[in-house]
Amino acid sequence: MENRSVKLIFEESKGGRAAYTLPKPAMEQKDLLGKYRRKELNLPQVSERQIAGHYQNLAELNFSPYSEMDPLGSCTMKYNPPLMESLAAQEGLLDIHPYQDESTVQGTLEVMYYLDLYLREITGMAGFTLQPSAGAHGESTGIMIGGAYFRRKGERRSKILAPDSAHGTNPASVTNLGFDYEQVNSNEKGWVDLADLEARMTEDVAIFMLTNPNTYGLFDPHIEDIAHIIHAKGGLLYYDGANLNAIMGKCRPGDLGFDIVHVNLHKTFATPHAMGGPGAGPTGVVEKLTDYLPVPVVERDGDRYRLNYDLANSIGRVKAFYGNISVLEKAYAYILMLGPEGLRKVSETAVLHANYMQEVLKKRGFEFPYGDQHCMHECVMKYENVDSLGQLLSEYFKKLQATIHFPQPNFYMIEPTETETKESLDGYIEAMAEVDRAIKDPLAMEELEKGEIYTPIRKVNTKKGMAKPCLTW
Amino acid sequence: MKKQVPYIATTEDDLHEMLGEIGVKDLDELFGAIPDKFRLTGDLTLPPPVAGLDLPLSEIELRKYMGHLSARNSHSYTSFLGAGCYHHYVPSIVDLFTVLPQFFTPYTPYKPETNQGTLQAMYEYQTMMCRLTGLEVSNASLYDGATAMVEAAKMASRLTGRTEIVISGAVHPEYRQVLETYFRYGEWRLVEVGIEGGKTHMGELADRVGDQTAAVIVQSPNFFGILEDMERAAEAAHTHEALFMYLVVEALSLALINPAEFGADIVAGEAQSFGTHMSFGGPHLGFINCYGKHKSKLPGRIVTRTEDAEGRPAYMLWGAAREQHISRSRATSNICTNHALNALAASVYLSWYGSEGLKELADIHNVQMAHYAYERLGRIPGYEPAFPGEEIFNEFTLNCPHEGGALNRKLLDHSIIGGLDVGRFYPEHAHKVLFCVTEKTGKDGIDGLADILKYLNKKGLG
Repeated sequence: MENRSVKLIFEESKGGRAAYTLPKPAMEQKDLLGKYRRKELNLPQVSERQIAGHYQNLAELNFSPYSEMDPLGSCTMKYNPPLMESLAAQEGLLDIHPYQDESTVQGTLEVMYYLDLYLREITGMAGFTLQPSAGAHGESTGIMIGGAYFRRKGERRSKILAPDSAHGTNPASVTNLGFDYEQVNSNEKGWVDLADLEARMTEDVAIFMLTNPNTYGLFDPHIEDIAHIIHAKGGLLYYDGANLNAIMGKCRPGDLGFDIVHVNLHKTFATPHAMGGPGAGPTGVVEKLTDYLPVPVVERDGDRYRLNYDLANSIGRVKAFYGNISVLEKAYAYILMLGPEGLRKVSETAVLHANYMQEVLKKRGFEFPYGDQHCMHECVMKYENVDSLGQLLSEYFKKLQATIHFPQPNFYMIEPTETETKESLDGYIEAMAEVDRAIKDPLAMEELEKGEIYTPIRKVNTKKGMAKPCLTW
Repeated sequence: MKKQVPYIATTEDDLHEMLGEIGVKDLDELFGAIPDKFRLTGDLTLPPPVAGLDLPLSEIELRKYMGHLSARNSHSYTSFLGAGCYHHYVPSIVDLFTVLPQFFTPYTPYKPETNQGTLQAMYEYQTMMCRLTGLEVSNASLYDGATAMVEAAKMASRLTGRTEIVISGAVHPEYRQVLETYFRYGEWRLVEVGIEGGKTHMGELADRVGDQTAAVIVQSPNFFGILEDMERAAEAAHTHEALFMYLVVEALSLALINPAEFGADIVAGEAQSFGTHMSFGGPHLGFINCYGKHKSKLPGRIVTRTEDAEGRPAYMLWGAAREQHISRSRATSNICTNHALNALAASVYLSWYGSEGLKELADIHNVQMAHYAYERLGRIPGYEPAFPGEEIFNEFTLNCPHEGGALNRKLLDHSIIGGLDVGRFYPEHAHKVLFCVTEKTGKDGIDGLADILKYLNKKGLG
């Protein structure tokens, strides 16, 4: 196999090389900052040609969702339109400072105003903050809003609940804000165990955090009972919007009884995942909580937009400035492009695709523990050699693996999204069937191993990597 | 034929074939788990932002509309705003790579074999950041400077087992606001140290640090643009075995100043200056650097170099046990999404400038230029340095004859975005303005501002 490793940029460095150009000094230079000056600085010294080559070669070591379907469960790896990238890259949107006079940033304030309005309508909330930079940041914001609400009511509630199937961010957000976390069981159907929830839902509990559809890809049909149990004890119901892609235009979290909602723009609204971020996690609340939102919020005053810092019970700020504005712009453009009917079609198609994969794979003999129900936008398969399955799919079929070992060990969580063709779903299914055959039959494995290897490296020695960290060059 | 929705390729035929395979008669059946009473029967109401521009929009309409929005922002004015967001030039090659599909579309590199490009780029970013801060370990980015500071404060608390944070009043006000917001939850004690002559009151700081202090946070250059006596702050922290957090909001200062030489245990802050556009305040680039002995409590993803099954160099995420997807309620942080693309931009940016270029940029086009402006503007009648004699980097504060907001509104008439009205955050300083000068300002920009200020002296603001 061809060695495709790329030298480190530091290994390409040579004294005397440089890529930069700068204007000539405009004035006589003085000797400044003498006692502060650092002794040395060792950054790469490379030409621009070398930089171009280096990052181009690194790019080629990544599998991009542009070339292959990326069915990562709970991540919603839909197509990221280049249109949105180029719209958000306009100078008038990029080169503006957060402290410019409001009269000079009316274009961006309009984006924020309408995105807020649209998100309210899509989720059934009464107000939004656009500040949170990510889903987990939205969770923190939502929990702080809930905490402030109870504090103002004079109630001491120290616990926050979430089901065992919750994303890891839920419990982490809870404990990182000093609340106690308690897990609620799921029942054999994959839904919230109502008896367990009822037993745990005391007047000590501030919030129940729920993803619906949940991480098994199932819509919990007892959502009304769940909301009732929480509200009867004065608690708040939190909607983890990671899976909103399943229900746009079909139902709204606000109507289902949720009080706080975060939305992952980088999942549902097609903004890119960008190797991990930036994303954005706007967080919405029902009427009684709008006073608690972080400041500022965008308002309209006649034909002018303005930032309002005056909310009676605001929790304060959750980041500097106003949010990940470029990400907000891309999501806004996406909503404008799709419109109400398009958004509904997105969710319907995402759900159709996941069910199709579940049914076909079931017929091919794969095990789906919750396969007696229609799934929503994703489905979960149980597979003993799930690590090998993912590894071989990448190595020999250039397929991106789905989410593994979540929500339970040996689970393979498939979220095909609405933007794939039926042909790519079928291609993925075929590859899975072939890998499965190879895992179960040594002869088939031998055949498979004769094939071309697509990954630039073989399986990474994670044990060694964990034990012997080498974190800088 | 029914019109396709953009970005969806599933045809009517595909739909029927798939429904047949699933064994349902229509799409509605798949949504059967949603109780009837909650099912929407009509369309969502999404009013057009402009009369007549009804949704959905075509690509052509969308581009035209968003083009109008962009044009409604004033972006070509000479600007003197800094205060946590800096108008530095972004080289073309940075913008090329941040829109490459292999970089902007992939997910977090949990699976190393298919994400070596991301992982190696993050490893290189970590290395460059550590070389700049003088510390040993860097995470692979956080949201922004303010949230990075909060995460670093929590990290210090975990490392020391203490819950008090001592923070300078000259730290960016919005950063302090974010810390206050978060630290209302849990058992925290925040101690804010006063300001004297535009700098942290170091005597007071030394008095307020105690045996319960987890971290001492001082920003340099501080909010007023002044370089702080970081050694004294570090000493005060270390006397009580607290950690010293050196907060950096203008990352370009690292080109000339090495925080490790001043006793930093943790360097946290904002690196938007390295190749990320201002974008009205986000997305930017939060970072935390620390020493190796503290790495197990460092929040955020970290990349390690290792090898693959055949002994080739390979990169992977290190220390997943710190993270939420493995440790859940015991994680060091809830961070999942980070700002990897901005970290990539920073690596390309730092490679483009290199050691020499970055120093030249910082020195000749920021420090020298800012000193020129400081002197030139400070000589105009009515204007004077607010904190004379203090060392600055690329920002400085002037006392002005006018209230800052009123002056800035007047400057807009002359296509100039003035400095920050300090009174916005410190009401007692309503006649102070914080000016920022970078390589984009240029000498002509400074001279232009000086001329206008003189003209306004004659004419008045009225």
